[in-house]
Amino acid sequence: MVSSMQKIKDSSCVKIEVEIPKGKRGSFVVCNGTIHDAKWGELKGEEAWRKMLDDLKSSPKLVNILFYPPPEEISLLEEMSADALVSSDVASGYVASYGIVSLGKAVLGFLHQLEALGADVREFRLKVDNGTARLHVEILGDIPWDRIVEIALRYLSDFGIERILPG
Amino acid sequence: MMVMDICWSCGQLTHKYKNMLNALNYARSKGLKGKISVKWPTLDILMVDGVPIAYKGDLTAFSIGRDVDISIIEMSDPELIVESNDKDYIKLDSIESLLSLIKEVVVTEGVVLEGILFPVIHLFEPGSVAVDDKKWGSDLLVVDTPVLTLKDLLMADTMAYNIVSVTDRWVLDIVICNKVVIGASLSMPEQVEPITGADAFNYPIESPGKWIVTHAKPLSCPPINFKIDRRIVEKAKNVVTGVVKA
Repeated sequence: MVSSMQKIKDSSCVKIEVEIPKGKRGSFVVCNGTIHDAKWGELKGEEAWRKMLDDLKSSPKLVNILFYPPPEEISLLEEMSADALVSSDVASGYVASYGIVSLGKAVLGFLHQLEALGADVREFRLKVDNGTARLHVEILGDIPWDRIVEIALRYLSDFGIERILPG
Repeated sequence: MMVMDICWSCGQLTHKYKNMLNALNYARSKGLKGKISVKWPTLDILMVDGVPIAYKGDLTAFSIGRDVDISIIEMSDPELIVESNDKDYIKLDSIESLLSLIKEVVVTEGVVLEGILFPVIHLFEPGSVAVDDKKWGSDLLVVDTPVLTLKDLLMADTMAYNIVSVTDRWVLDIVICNKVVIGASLSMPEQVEPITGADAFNYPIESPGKWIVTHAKPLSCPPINFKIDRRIVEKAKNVVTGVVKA
């Protein structure tokens, strides 16, 4: 849970509300490693974020996390919102188990990212089997295979995918 | 008012329903705090924030597809505490624990695609059903005839789908268990609330274009026996493609 929160902070642009049932609650705006706004109980800023992680560590129970789009002024880049979309759902996957919507969003995030880099995706097929993904993607645009694999892993590694092979 | 002759202290009657699942789905989506009360066969389900926490009485109301006298009653915290002191209540901890007690559910709607009836019952939000994330796939399809594509997809015995139309920007999530669609939910950019149940198919069947279809098998299916209402079977005989309701 704590590592997943850290991951949200480092790789996405999102507003989250965190609530430990019958315990503390607070809200945070984080964007690609920076804490823009943080409230946790009476605390604010960095201190609020650290205390929240501490409280999560010592809280064995289910934690409610709600995700919202970040305030407009910090979400200008398309690339960021695609990341936020995926990371937020991946994070809720730690609370419950993965549903079809999480998988679909990861795929969409990956394809959005390719398009953000100027690719026009003509064909796409992904087949996952126990940590290995076979990926067939045909694009108009100039993105080398290694870079495609790197982006795909960024979106799919949370689902336990370690290798991506052409196929 | 109706409330008075049920119990003076038991809250505020807000809605009436004739079908148990419609009532339950309403209570879940509105985050009801109160109870769902069935006159006959007698059943009360206590809910907090849309989650069933206890029930008393007879669950056969779920097996009757229509004409059940169901009241949705909102309650304050003190009222809920008084009500839950009743020792006849049996505790529940989730919607799944309630549904697992129901042995039979009548399916009263469906979608007909090129002459084939697919029964639809919105028991679960498709996103809440856990799937096999070790074995899954995703494909970009260029769809000319959405009816045929959907028909192919729905032919699966047991499968969950996340379908995103790149062209028209809708998202259709579906879970199929033992040939019955047990959850269907359509989100469209201009709509605030998703459209659930058989109506979720109305728009996609007329929306060709590029679809991204992600598919995985649900990890488990509820042990419920689905009884198809004969009236939808009859109605489906006169429909080539479209939604049918009992």
